[in-house]
Amino acid sequence: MNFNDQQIERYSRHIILSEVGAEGQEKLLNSKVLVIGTGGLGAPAAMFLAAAGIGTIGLVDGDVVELSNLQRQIIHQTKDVGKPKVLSGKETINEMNPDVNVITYNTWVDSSNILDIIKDQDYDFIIDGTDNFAAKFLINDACVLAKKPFSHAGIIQFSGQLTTYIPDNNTPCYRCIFKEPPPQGAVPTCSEAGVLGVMGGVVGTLQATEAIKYILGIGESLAGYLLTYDALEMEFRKIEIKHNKKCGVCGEEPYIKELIDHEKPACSL
Amino acid sequence: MISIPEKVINEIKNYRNKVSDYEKGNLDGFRFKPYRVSMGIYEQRDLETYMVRTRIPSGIITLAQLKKISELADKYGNGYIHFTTRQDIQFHGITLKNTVHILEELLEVGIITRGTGGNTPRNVTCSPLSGVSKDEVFDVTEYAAKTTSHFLKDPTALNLPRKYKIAFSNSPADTGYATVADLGFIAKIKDNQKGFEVYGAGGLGGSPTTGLKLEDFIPANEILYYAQAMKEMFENEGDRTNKHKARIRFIRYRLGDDEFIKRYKEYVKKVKEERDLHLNIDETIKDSHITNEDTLEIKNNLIIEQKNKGFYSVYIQPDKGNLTTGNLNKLIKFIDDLSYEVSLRVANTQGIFVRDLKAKDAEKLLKVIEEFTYGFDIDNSIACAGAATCKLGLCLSQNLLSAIKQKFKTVEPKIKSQLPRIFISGCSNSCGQHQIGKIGLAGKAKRTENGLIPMYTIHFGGNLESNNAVLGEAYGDIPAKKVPKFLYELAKLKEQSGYNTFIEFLKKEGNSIEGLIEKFANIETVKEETDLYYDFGSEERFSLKGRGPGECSAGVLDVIKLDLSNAETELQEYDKSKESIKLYNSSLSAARALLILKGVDTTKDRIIFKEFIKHFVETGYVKSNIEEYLGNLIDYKIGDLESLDDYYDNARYLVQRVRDMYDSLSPKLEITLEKESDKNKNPVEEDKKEVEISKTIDLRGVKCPINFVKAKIEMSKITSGEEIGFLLDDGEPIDNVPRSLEGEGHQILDIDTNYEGYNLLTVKKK
Repeated sequence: MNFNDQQIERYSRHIILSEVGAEGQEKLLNSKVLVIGTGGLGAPAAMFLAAAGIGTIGLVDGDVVELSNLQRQIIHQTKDVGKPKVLSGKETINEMNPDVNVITYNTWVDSSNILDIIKDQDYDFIIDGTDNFAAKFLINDACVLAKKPFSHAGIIQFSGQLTTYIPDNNTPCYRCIFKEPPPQGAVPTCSEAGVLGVMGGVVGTLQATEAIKYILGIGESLAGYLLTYDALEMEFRKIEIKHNKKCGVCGEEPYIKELIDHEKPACSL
Repeated sequence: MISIPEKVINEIKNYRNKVSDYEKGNLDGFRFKPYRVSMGIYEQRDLETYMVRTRIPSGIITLAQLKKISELADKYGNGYIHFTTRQDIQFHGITLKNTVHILEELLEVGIITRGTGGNTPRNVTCSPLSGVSKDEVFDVTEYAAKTTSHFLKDPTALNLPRKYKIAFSNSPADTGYATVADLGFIAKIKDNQKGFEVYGAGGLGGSPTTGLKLEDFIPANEILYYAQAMKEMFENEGDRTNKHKARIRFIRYRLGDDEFIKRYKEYVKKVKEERDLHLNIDETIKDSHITNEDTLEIKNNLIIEQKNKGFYSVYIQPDKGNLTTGNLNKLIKFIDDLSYEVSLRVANTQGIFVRDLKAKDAEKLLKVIEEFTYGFDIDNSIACAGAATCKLGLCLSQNLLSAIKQKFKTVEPKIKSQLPRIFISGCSNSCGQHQIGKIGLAGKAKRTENGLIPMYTIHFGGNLESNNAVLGEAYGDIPAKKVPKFLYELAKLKEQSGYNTFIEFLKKEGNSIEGLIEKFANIETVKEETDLYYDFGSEERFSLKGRGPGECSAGVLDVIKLDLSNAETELQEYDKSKESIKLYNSSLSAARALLILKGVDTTKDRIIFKEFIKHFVETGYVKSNIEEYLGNLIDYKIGDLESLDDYYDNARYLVQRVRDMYDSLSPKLEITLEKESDKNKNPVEEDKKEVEISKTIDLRGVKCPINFVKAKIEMSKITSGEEIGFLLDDGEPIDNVPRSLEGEGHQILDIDTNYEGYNLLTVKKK
């Protein structure tokens, strides 16, 4: 690959790293990452992926930008309120790094479309940046069935968690740890569903880090671990997790062979 | 006529800061140099003095500008100005501090120096009599000026693979030298429309050639598409790794003529699609010049009748192109005193034209300049700077010109007028443009039994014109000291032959001319004719001392080839006669051959062997047992050893090894052959003999850490075990980049801190 002078300068701090180098930067520029959800997690993740020179970034979201998003979803700006989030995200990325080709899917994921979206560009890595259990289980199942690596994460109030799934590696999936979405009553109510803005920044950026490391083939991933972050205590914990033989999607006798839609709990207030 | 962009003005103003940074030590010399050179400021052979080359766009200069130049030459220079062969004016002997003043004060009168050096479009040349000459198709001056303005606006034009020379001619006679330019335009009218024939990829210097005809006719207002297209083609396809093969004509050699033209046309098409570069110069053909009733009879070569009746141009070419400010001021005063306006054009022949003079005034001017100009073509010959100031020069070309003038001073006009203007280069490079002259001389060195002598290759028949440009052809070599007499005999021969033009004479009298060259080519021994062994104006025996192996290498290579062929011949003779002296002579010639590259030029056997050991055995290029063998040779010479028969293998190896080293010389005259010592150190590497430095990447002027980033990118392009070179600046770059690459596991093979004045880092990929 021939870098032009602007690329040499733009990615110089990457190329200097012996773990990245020109070859690694070339890999990044040739790679494709799908970011599902352009909210608290997806926004910072997508921005760092774009800055890193991921050649193709897919953005999936059916929502439009609201003023209340802007406290944490830093890919959108005040002028974007009312605009589809994927469009606003695409504009921000295009302005930041013209090397990146942004593909937008202005829709919510469900069992009928998610595999098509993943296969649309044969994405190398998927970031789960959604905000509800139904979507999280759906993404997990889809990635396991499609044999795609992905990063799961979730945030609420002052805490967050993430893990990485890598297929064919005996890696535990999200469903290995959490068998089913929690029952209705256990899901936090709207009054409880506050979140400190930077939580998405910290955890989403960690997700982007996992994606970049996977593409470069460097370091140790979070596969087999759940990393939790407590911002009030300022404590990170890395908990080892095991593959569950009885897992519904990746166990020895999986019962989920086709994607299912879990009920999306509505705010009870 | 040209407009200077704000950005260029700011750059010139910023030059002061760069100099100050450099003087304070904040800016490294290696980094300062490219900046300085792009401003047309070159260091002279005497350290700490500089030459400043101004851009006189297409030779167009006003009286006010000329006054300022005269003033600056007195104030900061050494009291004279130099007219070049590219319509520029140069100041010489300037201190660094004063280069700042010159640049700033020149700006006051709208003269810039930027782009007169460096890898950029150089001054766009133009027929100096365009607009007034009788035979012109139309005036091309404005087109040349627009081309200058176009590239001045473009900052990317400062970073081409090498220089880019554009020329305009107002008639098929090609007085602007369009047929030997990188891109040349010759005025042409078709269907009552102004336009140009387009030539390209021509040039003098190394591997010279006349230009290819790229287009038979293009509308005049479309020239910028063609100039821009050539720039883009050069940018994309020029060879940046080897500056000796970087010029546009080497793209043509690589691609072949047809492919070159095809690709060029694609670039033109692309530029036309992408940009609007259409000019709006009035294309109607008109002839509305003011005329004057007083005329005069032309009796002097320096007066040229113009197309507007009753007006004349006067040509002024001072000795060697150098005009003292005293004489310049006489000229300025004369023009100042005229009651009407004249125009001035710097010529491309180391002189200047005063145009639009009325008959009486032309005659008066002739009187004013009488003392420092000459009326004969041969007196207005051209010579490059030569070995006096140029590191690459072999012969003292300017002194030869003086000697020729001296020789013809007393020759009767009938004979003197027979010869055309002569073009003299001090070496095979073409700074004196020897290939375009009907007579051209190129300096070289020849080794004889008695040592080196300065010689000139005589070229005849160079001629530039539309559709029919030819470069002069070499007829033979003559010792420098015999050249003036030879020219005199040649002039007599022509006079006797009765042919009018020199070209006709050349065609019809070929045999007698060749006979004349043969007669003069004879080289007497030092006893018979000591003078031949000295160059003009030099009291030292002719040698190559102090002349670096630069671009002008052909003369040096000739000397090496001579030694090498002697060595091989003697070896063959030994095979027949088995006389030991033949082996001795063979080895002596072989040992001497390449020493010239190391600045050693001697005929003393012991010193030859000693220097050979120092430069080639101890450095590992030649097997170490050769040191002992050379000792044996000395023993043989002084009679301690009777026969060299036992050492035949050594003698054979030595000749072959020197031949291999010679064959491996890069265009920069470095030996690229693998060292014997390296072979021994890494026997495993034997198999990988194919692996060699694939290329050298120029990272001069690239700051940390981007130089390391670029080096890494280049490393990623080569395969494991392959070697690559990087040119790096002093200071941080050469300190850090090798360490960083080593840190990545690559092997640092060599850091040569004196590689043509730069640092060359050689790395092998892990």
